[in-house]
Amino acid sequence: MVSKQKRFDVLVNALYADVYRYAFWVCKNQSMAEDLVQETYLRAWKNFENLKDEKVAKAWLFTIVRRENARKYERFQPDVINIDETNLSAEGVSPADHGEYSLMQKHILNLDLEFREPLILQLVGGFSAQEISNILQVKKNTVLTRLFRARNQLKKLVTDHSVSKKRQAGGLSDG
Amino acid sequence: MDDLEFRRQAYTDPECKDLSFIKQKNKSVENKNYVEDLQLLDENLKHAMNIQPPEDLAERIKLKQTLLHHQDTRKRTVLWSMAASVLIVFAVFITLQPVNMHKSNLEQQLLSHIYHEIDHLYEQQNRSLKQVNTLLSGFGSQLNSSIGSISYLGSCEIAERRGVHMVVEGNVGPITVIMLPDLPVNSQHMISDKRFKGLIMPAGKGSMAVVGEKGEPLELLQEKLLENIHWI
Repeated sequence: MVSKQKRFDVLVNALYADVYRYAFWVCKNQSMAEDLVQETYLRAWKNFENLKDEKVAKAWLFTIVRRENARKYERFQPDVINIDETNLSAEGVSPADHGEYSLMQKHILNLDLEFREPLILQLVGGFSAQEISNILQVKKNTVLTRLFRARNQLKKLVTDHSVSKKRQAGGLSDG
Repeated sequence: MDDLEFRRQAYTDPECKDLSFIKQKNKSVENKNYVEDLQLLDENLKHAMNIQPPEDLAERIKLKQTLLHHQDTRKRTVLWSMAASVLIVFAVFITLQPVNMHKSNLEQQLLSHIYHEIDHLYEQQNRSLKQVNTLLSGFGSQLNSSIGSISYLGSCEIAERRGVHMVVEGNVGPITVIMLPDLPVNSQHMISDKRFKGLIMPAGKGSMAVVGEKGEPLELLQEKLLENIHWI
């Protein structure tokens, strides 16, 4: 029988990075995200007996992040932060690529939470639409619509940016 | 699946594995490009979302949890000790013989713990001094400088007291160091069985055990520990 402490340590090692990512993209602030993650794991420890199946641990932790975020920071919404000031670093991204991803990060941060959150759950959490619907407590069709609109907005922003870049390049070569 | 549905599905989940979606995707080059374009967007989004958490966040989470556990145990201990003190007063009247069943039991528990978590001897975590000190600070101690290559670092529970469990690289094999700041011992005791040998000694307000394979010169590490550790 594996002890409660061992099971908890495994849960920290395996999931803390994803829990942090989810917390950051929800609250848009690094130090708030750190506090959220620590608070989430403390709550998880206090209510560990509620976790019956380790397979759903990620969804369980993400749900606690949401609840904690609502409890602590619902009233405080930071302004959209300047991505260059946050010292964000994406794994496996070379410095040359960083500009491209930091623009993408800015686009993601600019999405409304209702569109941003299901997309984060899908791409960071790896959850299905049904699982997202359970975590967010909204209908599955609503999740599908929000995922559609999130990608639609991002695609448009990325396309607009590359068009204006091409135009700029064209303008420079003309002059 | 009609064209509108197909496009909607592609935006909802471009990695969708439904047969009708795949069929529609393979129907034309245009459809294929349409999906691949969104798959590329997803790839870029995943990269952008994949931010690095702060280096010592996992240690800080474990530290907070350890402190919380510590407080709970303390509260329980206070209640129990109040109840127990009544019994102790009674027992003192019955016998003046010193009660020291704790000692041999503790040595046995340390060895059992090492065998129970034998996998830790072979981990390759390569922990930094900073990570070690983050965990130690929750137990009221710090290391001034490195005591060697630390291949495992975690917290543990022995005799219902929380402690720090480390594995340090030795000459013969891995050496286990267990610090139990809440479990005092009066003097140094040897620990030994068929495979391991070591000792448990007083350290700060509690105790510290150093256990290695037979033939391991433990004195070196023991000296380093005593030189480098200080209690806050």
